Amino acid sequence: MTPAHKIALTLNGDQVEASVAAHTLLIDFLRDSHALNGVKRSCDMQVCGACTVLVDGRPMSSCTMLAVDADGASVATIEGLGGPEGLDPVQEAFLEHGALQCGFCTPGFILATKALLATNPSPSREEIEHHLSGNICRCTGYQKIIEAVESLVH
Amino acid sequence: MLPRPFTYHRPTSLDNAVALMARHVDDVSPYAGGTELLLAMKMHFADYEHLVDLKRIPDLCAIARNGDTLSIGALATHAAIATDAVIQEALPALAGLCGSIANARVRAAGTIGGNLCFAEPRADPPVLLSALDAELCLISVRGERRVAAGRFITGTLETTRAPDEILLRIEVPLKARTVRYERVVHGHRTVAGAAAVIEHDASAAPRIWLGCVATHPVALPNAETYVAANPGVLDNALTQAIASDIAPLNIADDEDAGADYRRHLAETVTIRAIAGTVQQEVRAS
Repeated sequence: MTPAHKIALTLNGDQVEASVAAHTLLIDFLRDSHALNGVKRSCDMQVCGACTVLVDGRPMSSCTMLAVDADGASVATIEGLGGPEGLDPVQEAFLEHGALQCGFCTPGFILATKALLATNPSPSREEIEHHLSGNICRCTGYQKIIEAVESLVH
Repeated sequence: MLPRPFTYHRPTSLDNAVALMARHVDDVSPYAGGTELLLAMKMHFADYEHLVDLKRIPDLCAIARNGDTLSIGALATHAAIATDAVIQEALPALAGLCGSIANARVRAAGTIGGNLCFAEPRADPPVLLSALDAELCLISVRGERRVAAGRFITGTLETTRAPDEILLRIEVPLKARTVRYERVVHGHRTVAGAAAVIEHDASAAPRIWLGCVATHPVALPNAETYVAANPGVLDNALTQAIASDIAPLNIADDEDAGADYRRHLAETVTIRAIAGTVQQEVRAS
């Protein structure tokens, strides 16, 4: 066995310390050690976006990122959005527009949308489509998803 | 799948990284964004006993203009290049290309240096950087050396990087030139990409490079000669010159496109890149 590495990160706002093997993937650390099952494993090769998490605000494929790389970072999963006062505005927009069918891709789409709006609060439809083109919805519910994101643009 | 276990090193200085690469030279890889390396290791297509993570070394991701040279740190991500004000102004073709590679997650993690060193045959940046006559600066315990981008990649996943070398930065000369990159993408993978660089100094030869079709980017010498002699001319003779450059290339079928179709696309994107420079020059004048 390779030696374990100590990591410390902010996970959905909480300080977390852990010991991980170097080859542990971030997705497994989040799902297996922290039961953050909103992080979905699907294509496992950075194409589908179901495993998207935010690392220091940037969208990342947790399936192809080492847990040790999260050392010192702030990681957000879908479970970290919203709070006792209610859902995150992006979650609300997806609900209002029916922008989900089976829901498997939804955490990834919502986090990708958070990342987009953080850097570009007023994206055009073309920019929304370009940014979200890396997230795949197998139910093909793209129209409602784009509409939900557009509703957040002021 | 999971990568096989390996020893992970995280140097915080370049000196330490160079020493680690030398110490483990028999089975080591530099590790940057991981978008290609980790994927290959997960598929057990590549295995290394040691990974030297370069991400915590200061300044390796710096982007700066020094006079007539644009210096891009090897650890600069595609997203950083796409949104960098200096590159958007000095080399919009590169910013635009890096802003459309793969998807937002790959752009946020993947680095320009990793893209070059992994030498995936479908990678776009090496084609454009070769046409721009960029130089790569590498370092090892033996010191620094420079190599032209167009001579760095020698085959599928093959480069002239020694096993213990680290790519430090890419230097692009900033001259008065018209630059165009054109590609055809299937899914998120490019099936043919061509770059045309026309120097405004008429005595300097145009540079036309093709990639993402064969094993690695190549110059198209007949097309370059024709464009040099017939600037701004888009005719059948140009098409024939391009076709004669493409004919000897080893182009294979794959899951995205048949060899014949890819050959056709190679000609098409090359003509589009050259035509694009002509249009840009007309617009600018």
